[in-house]
Amino acid sequence: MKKILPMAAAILCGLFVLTDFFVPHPSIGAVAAVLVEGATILAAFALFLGVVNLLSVHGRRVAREARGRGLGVVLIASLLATLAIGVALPGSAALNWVFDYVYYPLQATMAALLAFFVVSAAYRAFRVRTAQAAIMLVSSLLVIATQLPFGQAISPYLPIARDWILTVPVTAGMRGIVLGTALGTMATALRILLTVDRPYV
Amino acid sequence: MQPLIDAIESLLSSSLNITALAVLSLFCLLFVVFTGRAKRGRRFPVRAIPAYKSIHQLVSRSLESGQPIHVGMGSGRVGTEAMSEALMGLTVFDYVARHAAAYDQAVLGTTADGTILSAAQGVLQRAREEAGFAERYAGNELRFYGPDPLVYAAGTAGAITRDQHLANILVGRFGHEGLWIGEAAQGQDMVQLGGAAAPGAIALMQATLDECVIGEEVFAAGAYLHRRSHLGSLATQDTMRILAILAIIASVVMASLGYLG
Amino acid sequence: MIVCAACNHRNPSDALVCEACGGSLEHFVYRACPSCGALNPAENVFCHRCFDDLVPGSAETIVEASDIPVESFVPSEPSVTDREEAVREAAAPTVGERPTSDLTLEADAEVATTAEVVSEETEPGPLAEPQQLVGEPIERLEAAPSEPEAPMQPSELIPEAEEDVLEGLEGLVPIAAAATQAHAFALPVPPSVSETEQHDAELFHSIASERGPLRDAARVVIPRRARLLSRRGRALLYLLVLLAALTPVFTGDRTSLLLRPRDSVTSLARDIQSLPTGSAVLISFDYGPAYAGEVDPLALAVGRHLAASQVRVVAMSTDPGGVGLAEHLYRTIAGEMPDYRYGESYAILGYLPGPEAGLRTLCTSLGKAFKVDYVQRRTLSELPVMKDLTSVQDFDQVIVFADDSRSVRSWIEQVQSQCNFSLHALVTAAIEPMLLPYQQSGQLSTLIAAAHSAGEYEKASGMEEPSLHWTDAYGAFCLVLLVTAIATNVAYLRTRARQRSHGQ
Repeated sequence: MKKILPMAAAILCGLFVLTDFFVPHPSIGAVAAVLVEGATILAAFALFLGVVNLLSVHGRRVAREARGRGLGVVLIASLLATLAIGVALPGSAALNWVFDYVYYPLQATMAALLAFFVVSAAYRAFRVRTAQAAIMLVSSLLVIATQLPFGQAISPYLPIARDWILTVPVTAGMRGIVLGTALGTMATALRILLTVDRPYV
Repeated sequence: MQPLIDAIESLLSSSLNITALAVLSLFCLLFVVFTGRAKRGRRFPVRAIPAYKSIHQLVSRSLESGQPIHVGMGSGRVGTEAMSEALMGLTVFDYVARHAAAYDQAVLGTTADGTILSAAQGVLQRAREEAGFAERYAGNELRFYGPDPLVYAAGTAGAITRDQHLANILVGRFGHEGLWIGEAAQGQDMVQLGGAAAPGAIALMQATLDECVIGEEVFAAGAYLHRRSHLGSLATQDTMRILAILAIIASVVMASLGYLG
Repeated sequence: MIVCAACNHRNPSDALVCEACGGSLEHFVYRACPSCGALNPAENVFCHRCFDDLVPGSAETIVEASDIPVESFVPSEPSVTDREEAVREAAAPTVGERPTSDLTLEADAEVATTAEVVSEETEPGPLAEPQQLVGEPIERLEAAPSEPEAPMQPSELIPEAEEDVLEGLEGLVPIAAAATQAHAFALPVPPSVSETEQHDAELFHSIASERGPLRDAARVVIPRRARLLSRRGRALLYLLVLLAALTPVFTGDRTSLLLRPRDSVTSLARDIQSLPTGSAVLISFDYGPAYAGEVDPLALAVGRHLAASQVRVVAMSTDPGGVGLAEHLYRTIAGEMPDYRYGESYAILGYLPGPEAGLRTLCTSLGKAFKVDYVQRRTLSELPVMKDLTSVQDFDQVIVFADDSRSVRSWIEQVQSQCNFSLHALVTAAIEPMLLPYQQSGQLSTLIAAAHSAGEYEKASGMEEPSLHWTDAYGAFCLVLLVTAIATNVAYLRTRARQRSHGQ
C-alpha cells in the first residue's frame, strides 16, 4: 500500500493532465489547472530540499573543521543573508543592491570563464585527423567568420553561406536529434505512467 | 452525457490533436507489446555503444583501485521537459551506486535539482542498506550546489578537483556548463564519459569527453546498464523512429507530387 | 533469494523472472546472503560481508580443493615455541589491544578468500560433506566473545582459545598460523632467497602497492585522448582570449560602423514601429545574469524603442535572475525618460515558477500566475498599465529574450499551442540553431541571435547608437578561435612529421 498509493496518484495526475492537452474542455481544464498548480508548488519545494542539503554538507564541513571551512562559512552566511533580505524585503533597494553588486557580477564572471574553456576545447576538437573532422573544421571556420560583426562587409556571400549551413545541414541534424529525444522522453514518461519502471519511489 | 459529447467534439475539432493522439496511441500499443516481450525474457539485439561498455569497465576498475567515480546528473529538473534526461542520469547513478555500495566504496553524485537529489539519496541509501553497510550512508556523497547551471558547474568542478576521482560521468541535462566540468576533469586527468540530449550541449561534450553518447542514446542508459525492462521501451523508440522516417519520406514524395497541397 | 535489479523485488533463489515486474533475472542480479542479508553480485560464491556460502554446496568445492596441492602457497607453520618467540618480539601493546573479534574476522576472511581462489581453479564435481570443514569452525568463531573485557596479555592470546577455534581448519589452509600470529608479526621468510628473487619481490611489491597516477589507472579501461595542450600553451590561449576582451579599449569600437541590419532585425523594428499608441507587449526575460552581457544590449534597444513608441510593456520572467535584470533595465530606461512611469507605462510582474506548468496558467489568467506585481506588491487589477490585460492573448505581441532554447520551446509548446499569438524570440547566438526549425514552421514570427544585433536594431529603428561598444571584442574573439584552429593543426602536422621521421 505504501508504494501503490503514490504510484496510483502519480498515474492519475499524469493521465488527467494528458487528457487536458487533447481535450480542451473547461471541466477537465479546471481539475488539470489545480494539478498543474500543485506541480508548481512541488517544484518550488524541491529547491528547499536542495538548500537543506547544501546547508548540511557545508555545515558539516564547518563543524568538522575540514578543508574549505572558511568557504563553507562564507556560503552559509551569504545564503542566509540573501534569504533574509529576499523574504523580508522583496523588491527592495537592499535586494537590488545584492543583485546588482554580488549576483550579477559573479554570474557574468562565471559565464565569461566559458570563453576560455571554449578556446581550449576548440584546440582539441579542431584537429583534422579524419575526413569528418576536416568537414567539421571547414564549416566551423565558415560559421565563425560569418559571426564576425563585419562579416557582411567582407563579402555579401558570407551570410548566405552561413544561413545555408544553419538551415540545411545543421537543422537537419538538429531535427533528427530532437525527434529521437522526444521519443526517448515519451518512453521515459510511459515507463513511469505504466509503472514499468518504479525504481525511485 | 453532454459534457462527454462536448469533450469528444473538442478533441475531433483539431487535426493536430487527432494526429498527436494517434501517434501516442501507437506508441503506447508498441510499448506494451515490446515491454511484455522484454519481461518474458525476449532478447532484443542492440548495437554496442562504447560509452556504456566503458561504464561497466570503469565501475569494476573503480572497485579495484578504490578511487570513486563522480556521476553528474546535470541541471534537469523534475516537472520540466528535461526530467527524462535527469532520470537517465539517476539510472546511471543507480548502477554506479549499487556496485560501489556492494563493495563499500565511496561515490559522488551531483545534481542541480532538489527532487533528483532526494531521489538519488534514496537510491544510495537503499543500495548501502541492501549491501549491508547501512551505517556507511553519508549525506555528503550527494551534493546540490544550486539550481542555476553555472553555479552547479562551479560547485561540481570544485568537488571533483578536490578529491581524486577515477572518472567523471556526465549524464543528464547539460548546457554550456558541461564544458566547465569537463575542462576541470581534464585538468585532473580523469576518464570522462557521458552524453547529452540537448543539441547545443552535444558539440561541447564531444569536444571534452573521451566517450560521448548523443541524443536518443542517452535514453538507452538503463537498457545497456542494468535495467532489462528498458529494452522494451528501447525497441518501441526504434520502431517509432523507423515509422517517422517512412512518414517523412512519404510526405516529401507526396508533397513533391502535389498531393499535400 | 535473488533481488531484481529493475524493481528491487526479492524473489526466491530459483526464480528466472521477477515476480513483481516480470523482468529477466538471468543477468544483473544480486543474491542476498542467507546469513546477514547483504547483497552480492550473482557470480559471488561467498558473501563479501560475512563470508558465508551464497550458493548451497559451494563450500563443497573445498573438498575438491584438497585434492590439488596447495602446499606451495602455505607458509611453513611455526611451532608453538616459535610463535611465543615471535609474539614476544612483536609490539606487545598492539597484541594486547587487538580484540578477538578482529582475529576471528580475519580468520574468516582467509577461509573465504582461499576457498574462492581454489574454487575458481577447479572444476565443480561430485561433492561431499563440506560443512564439517568450513561451516563448523565459522560457527564457533562467531560464538567467540566479540569484545574482550580487558586487554589480553600476549601469553593469553596464543595457546587455547584460537587453537581450539581453528581446530577444524588445521592442515587445510594456513589460517591457524595467520590467525594466531600477532598483527605486526611478519611471516617467516624462506632462508635462501637469491638476489634476483629478492629484487623481483621488491619490484612486485612496489608496483602492487604504489598508487599510480589517474591517467595510468584509467588507461586500462579506455584509450584516453592524449593531452594536447601543455600548461604553457593553455596559458597562451587564455592570454589571447583576455586580449580579445580588451580590444575595444584600444580600437574604440570602430568595426560597429560596418554593421548592416539583417532582414529579421529590420522586420522586428518595423513590427514595433507599427504598433499603435497604447497597445500592449508582454516581454519575458528568460535569461540569467550569466548571459546578460550578450542579451542586455538588445533588450535595452528594444525596450527604448517600445518606450519611445508609447507602447505599454508588461515584463515577467521564468528565470529567477531575469526579474532582477528586467528591473535593472527598466530603471535605466525610466531614468532616461521622465514620463515613463512604473504602473502606468510599464510593470514587472515577477518570476513565474514551475517552467512548463507555470507558463500554461498564462493562457487562463495572469492574475492567477502573479498575485501581486514585483515592485509595488499591488494586485494586477490595481495597476493602470494592466487595463484590459487578463491573459496572454490580450497582448499585441509577445517577445521572449532567452539564453536557453528550452524556455522558447516551452513558450511555443505550452502557451502558443493553447492560445494563438505572435511570438518573437531574441536569443543568445548559441541557441539560435536549435530554434531555426520553429522559425521555418512559422511558430516564431522573428528569431534573432542577440550577439551584435543591438547595434543593428538601433540602426534599423533609427535610434541613437549607444549599445555599440563591444562588436570589436566579439570580432576579436572569433579571430582567436580561427587562430586556435590553425595552431592546433600546425602542431598536429608537425607532430606527425616528427613521428614519421622517427619511424624512418
